[in-house]
Amino acid sequence: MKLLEVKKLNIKFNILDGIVNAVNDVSFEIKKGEVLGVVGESGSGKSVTFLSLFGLIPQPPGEIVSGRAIYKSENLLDMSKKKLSKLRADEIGFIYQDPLTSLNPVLKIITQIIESPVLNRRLTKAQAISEAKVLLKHVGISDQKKNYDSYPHQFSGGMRQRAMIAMAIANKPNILIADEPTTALDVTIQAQIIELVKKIKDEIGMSVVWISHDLGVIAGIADRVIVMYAGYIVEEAPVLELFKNPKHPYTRGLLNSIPRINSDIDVEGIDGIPPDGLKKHIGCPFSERCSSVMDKCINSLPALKKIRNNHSVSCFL
Amino acid sequence: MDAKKLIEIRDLKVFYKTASNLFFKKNNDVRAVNGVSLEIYEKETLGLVGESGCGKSTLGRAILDLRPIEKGSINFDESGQINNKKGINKLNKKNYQIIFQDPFSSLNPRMSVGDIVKEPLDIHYNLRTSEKINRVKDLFKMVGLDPSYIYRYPHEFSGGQRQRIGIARALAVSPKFIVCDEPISALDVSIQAQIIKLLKKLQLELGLTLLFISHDLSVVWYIADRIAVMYLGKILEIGSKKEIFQNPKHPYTKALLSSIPMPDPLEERKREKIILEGDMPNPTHPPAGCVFSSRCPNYIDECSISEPMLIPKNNKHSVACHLV
Amino acid sequence: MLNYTIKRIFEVVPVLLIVSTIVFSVMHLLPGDPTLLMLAGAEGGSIPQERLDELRNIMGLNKPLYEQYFNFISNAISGDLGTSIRYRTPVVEILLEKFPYTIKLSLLGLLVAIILGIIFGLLAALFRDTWIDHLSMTISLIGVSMPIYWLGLLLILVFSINFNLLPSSGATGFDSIVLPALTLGFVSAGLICRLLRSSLLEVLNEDYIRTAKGKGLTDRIILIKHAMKNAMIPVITILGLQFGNMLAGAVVTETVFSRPGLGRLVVNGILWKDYPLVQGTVLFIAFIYVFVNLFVDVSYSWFDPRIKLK
Repeated sequence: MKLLEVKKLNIKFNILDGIVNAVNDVSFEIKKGEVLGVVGESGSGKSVTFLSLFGLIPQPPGEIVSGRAIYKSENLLDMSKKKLSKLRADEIGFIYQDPLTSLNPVLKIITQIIESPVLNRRLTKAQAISEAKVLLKHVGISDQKKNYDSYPHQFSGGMRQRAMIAMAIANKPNILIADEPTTALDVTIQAQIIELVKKIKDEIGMSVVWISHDLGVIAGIADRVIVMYAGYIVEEAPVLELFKNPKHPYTRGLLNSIPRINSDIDVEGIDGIPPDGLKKHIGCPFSERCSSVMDKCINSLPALKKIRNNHSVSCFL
Repeated sequence: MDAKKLIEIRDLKVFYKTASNLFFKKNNDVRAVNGVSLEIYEKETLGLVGESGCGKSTLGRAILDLRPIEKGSINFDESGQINNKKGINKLNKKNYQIIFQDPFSSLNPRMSVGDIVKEPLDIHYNLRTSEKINRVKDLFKMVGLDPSYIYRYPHEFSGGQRQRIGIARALAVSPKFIVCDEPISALDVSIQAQIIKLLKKLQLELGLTLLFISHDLSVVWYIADRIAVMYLGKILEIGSKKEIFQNPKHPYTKALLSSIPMPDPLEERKREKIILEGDMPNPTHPPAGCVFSSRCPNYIDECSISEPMLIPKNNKHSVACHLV
Repeated sequence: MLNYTIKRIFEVVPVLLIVSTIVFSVMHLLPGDPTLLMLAGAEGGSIPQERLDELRNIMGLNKPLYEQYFNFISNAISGDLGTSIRYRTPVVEILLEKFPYTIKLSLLGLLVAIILGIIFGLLAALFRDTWIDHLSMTISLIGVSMPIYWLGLLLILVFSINFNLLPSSGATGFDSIVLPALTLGFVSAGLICRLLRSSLLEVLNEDYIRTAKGKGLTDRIILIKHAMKNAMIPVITILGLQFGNMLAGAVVTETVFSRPGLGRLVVNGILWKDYPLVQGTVLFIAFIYVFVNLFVDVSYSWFDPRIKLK
């Protein structure tokens, strides 16, 4: 069942140095209960895409140039600010990369968790606090008084991320947008957080958008994956298919950049530098770095074409 | 081992002092490195892995005399010694260099990149300027950058390029030993691969000895010969690459290895992951006995009573655990 | 926290010692003879040297400087700041009588500064790059650059003389304190306004504001509960210093508006070479200033829980 359908989203940023085409003709769907993995490096537009759908990208300097985003038969991009705000409160949850800067340093953690329930579900403060305590315990923060009175800087990185998860699911959202939530965490803590999100997803029945540059993490949690480069979707496939049969040279390049433990295969990396967004592309944005580049690639942009079982690629090969 | 020892570290302790209390002498020092003994052999790459707060960066810097040591000694083959007790602090810095983690803050934005790489030459050598400039251009070529870039400024380069400049700077004085302090953590994955390939190549070509500090085990697999696993200021396990990855003995190492996400969906879903409870304890108050005792899934009473020593199990593998 | 407070209290002592040394030295280095000034007023004509010498002896002005200084300090510690040469009353009494005026003025000035500064700083940040912003910034620039006496005179000209709305002098009730407080506070208001604007703009770009938006909180809640509390931190930091400015500025303001208070006391004391009065008053002002700053520092941790006072 389709929850969200995005068609041909185009977003640009007007900055001092020029115009950055952050998101180009991006189309995708989110189904109920699935985990959509979004892979990309810096400049891929992966975060901007999802944050802008729900009004979290300031406009200016951002600007949604065109596109449609249908959620429950309404176009998100046409919604009033007020309605969008209510939607964020009731149905969408967000967790971000850096839990230290994403939590208000001068407010207690529990204060920040009860804010939205009190405002939007009209709970009394007492009700919200007891609910929050249950939530915190559920995400693995033990119910000791010192935890309830704590400020963000008094928690460790893993605990802060758990607190942020508790905050995001307080109103039982339909979609959880997770923007690189484990990138700043140690690997053992990362494993804990991934398990936690999996558990909660099953309990609440929510869909998850997991944005990351780490293909290993995506392999472990995603059902379907979209790969982004320079604001374009270059490949989309169910997770098993993507890792077994990567078609786009960028996807392949990414997979070749990860050293494989216990094997002697050399890494390849991808030549060149990540896209900086200011340059105007005529052809395929990956053409500068592609090892299989042809003349065609420089002059015209390949469209996203379906090749088989839900697997689409935008490449001339 | 027949290889020559380049650096020998004995019982090293490096603390961060906290402000002393007026009335009570509370001991709140951060015990970043809390008793480490280690040998680094010539021409090897020793990978030092651990999570944040384990002390690996501090250890790297202490070796280069960039942090004062509390106790213990560091002996460098002929180049000197750092020994707090004897008050010795001699290190021929020309042979020992460092590459930093953050390519954005480790290059002085007010200097041209050519000057940044030339600076070590100015300090350690007495050459004519034209000779130094030629050397800088050679270094740029060595790290894969166009020599004509030497007059540009750091902000004109991408993260990966800046890191190459950092490498060139470290290589300028032809050092024997380089501490690589998480040199790729701040870079995109596709660029990370470029840089570790470069480092591996340079190490072979120039016969360098590297201490490669990282929290990323996949990268350490690629580049290191031996690996030391660090936790809360102590080395828990050390051995050859194959031994550590294929035959891990310490419970922490096993947990670490099982948490590494593999880019293989079937494997990922099949794997039995060891999920550790809780967080790393505060380095100001490590647990009694074994530093890992508070989170170890195989905990027994002895673990809180006495600290396990780092004992060799075979000539390529040592572990510090009561149960091994 | 207690430790920190005690440590800070101990630090007050050297500050006061240094202040008193400076005041003492400056007073005694200035040319002029207090006895001459005193007797000249009373008796007129030229005064015989013996009278002057007699008075000097009585006042202890012939003793060596270090002895005078030592007496001054030891007396001060026991609460005796000497006797004013001019008024013939203990300095402490004079201070206690006059200081309420100055404190009232300074506090009111600070209040003016805070209220005006916050309102305009907030508006400037919220309506960035619009005419509101530019207007606020221009006014605050004028405030920061304008000398107090000029502003005071200007306000008198407009409100007292032209429109006859407010009194230009005296200390009779609330009316008379309005203009002086405005004068005094305007400069600090300019500073606070600019500081709050830049601080708020920075805070509004922080990740946690985006998190608050993501939760669906209203703009008003985000601004007041999330943003302001953080943005005010640098402002609080300078409030202690600003109060010091108020105390200093009170000198000029009191003179312009002919109000009684410590400021005028010091100025006149200097003119009359009334050593005990000046020394005592400056020491007293320094004392107040140091304690206000101590209070601000200690209460700082209420605003920013990341500051752990050790």
